[in-house]
Amino acid sequence: MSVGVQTRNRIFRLSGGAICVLVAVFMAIPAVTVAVLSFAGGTNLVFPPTSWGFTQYHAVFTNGVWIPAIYESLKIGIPVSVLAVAVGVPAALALQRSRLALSGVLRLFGVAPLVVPAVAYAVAMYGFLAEIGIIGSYWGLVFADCMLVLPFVVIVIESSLSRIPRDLELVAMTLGASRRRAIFGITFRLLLPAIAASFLLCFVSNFDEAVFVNFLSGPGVTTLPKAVFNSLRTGLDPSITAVATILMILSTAVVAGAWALRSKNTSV
Amino acid sequence: MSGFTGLALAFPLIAMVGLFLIFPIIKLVQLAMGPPRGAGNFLSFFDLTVNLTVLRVTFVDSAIVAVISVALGGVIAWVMSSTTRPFVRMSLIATIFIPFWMGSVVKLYAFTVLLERLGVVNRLLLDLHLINAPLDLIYNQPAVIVGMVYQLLPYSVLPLFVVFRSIDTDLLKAAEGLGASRARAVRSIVLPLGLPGILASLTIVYVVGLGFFLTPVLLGGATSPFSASFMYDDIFQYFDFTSAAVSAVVLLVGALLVLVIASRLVGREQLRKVLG
Repeated sequence: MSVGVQTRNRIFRLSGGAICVLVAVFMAIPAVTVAVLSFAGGTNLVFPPTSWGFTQYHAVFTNGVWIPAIYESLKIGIPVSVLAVAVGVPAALALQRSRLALSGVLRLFGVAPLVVPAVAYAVAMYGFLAEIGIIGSYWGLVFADCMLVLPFVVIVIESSLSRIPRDLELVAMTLGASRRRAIFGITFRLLLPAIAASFLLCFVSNFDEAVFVNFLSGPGVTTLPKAVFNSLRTGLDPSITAVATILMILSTAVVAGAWALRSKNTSV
Repeated sequence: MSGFTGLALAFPLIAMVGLFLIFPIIKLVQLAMGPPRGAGNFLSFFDLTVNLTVLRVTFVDSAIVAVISVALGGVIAWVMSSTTRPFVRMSLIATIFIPFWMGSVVKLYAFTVLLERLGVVNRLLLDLHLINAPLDLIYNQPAVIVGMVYQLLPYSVLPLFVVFRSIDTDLLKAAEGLGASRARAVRSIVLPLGLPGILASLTIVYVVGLGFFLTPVLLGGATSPFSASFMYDDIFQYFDFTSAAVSAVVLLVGALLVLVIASRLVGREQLRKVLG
């Protein structure tokens, strides 16, 4: 043995650590750059900035691009998430609590939109919506976007349901509750935090959706990601840095909230 | 609940998937095989060398991205699962999640700011006198690959972390007790036991990467040879939906083949676990 096991183990550990540090730096650099640049005083994207200030944040609220785009995103995101929850929760319930013959196929249906390559799906959806004459319409986009977030609802609700003991329903029924009452009074109530969490996940995910909106919405519908995309194709607008920083903080808060809601449910 | 109630509860999902996923894909195949040449549209497609180049670039670059993501993600997931310091694990999770916080287009904006001709990286290198003229860091294939790895790393780290955690660490201790080095123990225990999970992550990252649209368009530039850019231009510049549909069908069939082969190799359950 030329090199001892101890030395080799040290090399192994050090190289693992080095890769982790390099990757962590790689992951952090874009976010840090954007956050730092958002406090640059001028309109030049020079790093490090030569002057500091809230110019970019001021521009976000005054230049008339970002606020309507945020409003447009909300107008799409809320119905999309409501629809996804309304469709996904009963399906997850059926998957977990009923003797459904085709549950394997249904489970596949639930996650299928995640594994269809997004751009090919967008082209297919474009053809379909054009065929039925609602391409570029508001509802066409809402239904299409809903498909992209449905899997989150099915996955989150199914895993939460699997942790709510079935026996609780049986106990309620032994105590005289009807089956419906047992499901709505016990299981559904215990499921509420998970439903709220899946709603938030859908919303955050849809708030960031930029592929379908590019293919399926006309020039009239400009959500926030599409506005960023458009402005990126024409040049580098420095006020995006401020939009991005605000969004990073908000989405961290919302997803943290969703996680808190989910873990509230698991402690049952 | 009876199967019938179950079916009633699941019906909205079945209807949505049928109407907004299965039907559009059937329609897509129909349109791709419609006028002008019917099924011959595919022959015309494969006759053009540019289309073949685009396909090769799309499938090969996505494969490179998947391999890099799973290799780096594997190291990170391994350190996360084997470290005894919670601080290390937490900070790794936090940095891995950064792409999720940033927003799909904003990430690419950040890369553009960094990699542009007079962007942050080039200015830094110029100021340090490491280069004399700005490098072409963006609007080429390597830029697209770097951008895709950045976004797909979380998709490989999280499932691999779960895979590695499920491996009995006593096996590693036993191997080391018998004189194996750490690297040897990892190679002959973690890799074989984790192989189904590793292959499943590789597959999912690959298929998700095949569908990327924003990254090839924004980091690849106007002439990027990715099928996503071509499909977009076919529809919105040349108003040639059939051509876009043919590319989309080819991409779908490719992705489906990858999924079928993978589920033969590692099982459907394993693939689904990686998604959840």
